[in-house]
Amino acid sequence: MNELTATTNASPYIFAAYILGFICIYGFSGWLYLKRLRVERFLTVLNKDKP
Amino acid sequence: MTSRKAFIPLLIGLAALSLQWLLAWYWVPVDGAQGEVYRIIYLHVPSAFAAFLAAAVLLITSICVLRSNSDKWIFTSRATTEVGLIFTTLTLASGSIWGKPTWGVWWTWDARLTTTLLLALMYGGWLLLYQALPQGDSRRRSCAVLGIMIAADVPIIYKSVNWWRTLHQPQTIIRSGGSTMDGEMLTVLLGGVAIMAVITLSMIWVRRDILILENELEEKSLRGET
Repeated sequence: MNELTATTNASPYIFAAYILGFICIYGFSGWLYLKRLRVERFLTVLNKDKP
Repeated sequence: MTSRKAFIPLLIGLAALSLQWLLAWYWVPVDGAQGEVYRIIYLHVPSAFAAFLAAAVLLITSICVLRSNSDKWIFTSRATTEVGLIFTTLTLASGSIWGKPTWGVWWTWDARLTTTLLLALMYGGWLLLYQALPQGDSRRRSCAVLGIMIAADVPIIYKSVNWWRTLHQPQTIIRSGGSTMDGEMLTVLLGGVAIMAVITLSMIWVRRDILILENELEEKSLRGET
């Protein structure tokens, strides 16, 4: 193990990287789901209003 | 109306990703050279492959855009670019976090890092170009040409560690003479790459469906049906 990594506490770095990964991947997926629901709701209302 | 089936592979992918992360934290052995901090590799490398996969999809859809006169393919291109930008940003950010304890710096103008930053900037540029131009042939063509340029950056990123003297480590997974990684480490890493590929393609599929529905809504409102 090199001197720099041996003297560094790795946990904060690993934690920060995975938190960021979680926000990007799971956050974007959640946003996609909500966006899809919203657009579908609009279209349903629109189609209902049709004579 | 398109179906919600696209969410099924995405949900499976997200569940598998959670499992892969648990394996990466608790099951795979510690690296002899870098210690615990190397575990960022299980996020960093799959994200990079996802960004490359998005560029490959963008290349295909850009060619399809140039060959067809409809807006059908441009929605797939836009969905791909958004997903590609997210994964490239994640690659850069996780690499930067990994770089601090191993190299002593958050960022350096290394060939691999710089060409990856260029990829992120071009993905962002594609989205700006898409927003800036009015719907039509001009937008389709400009975005398709930029999409092909984005894809051309990927082989440069991949080979940058061989072509230039860089701080970034050389290829360790796909190289002549086999991988230099331990079997357990390699299994979890390749599993992560496969899972991220499923997530990337599912995200593109879902986002494309949403863009098509939004366009449908927009057309209806233009026709005065709302």
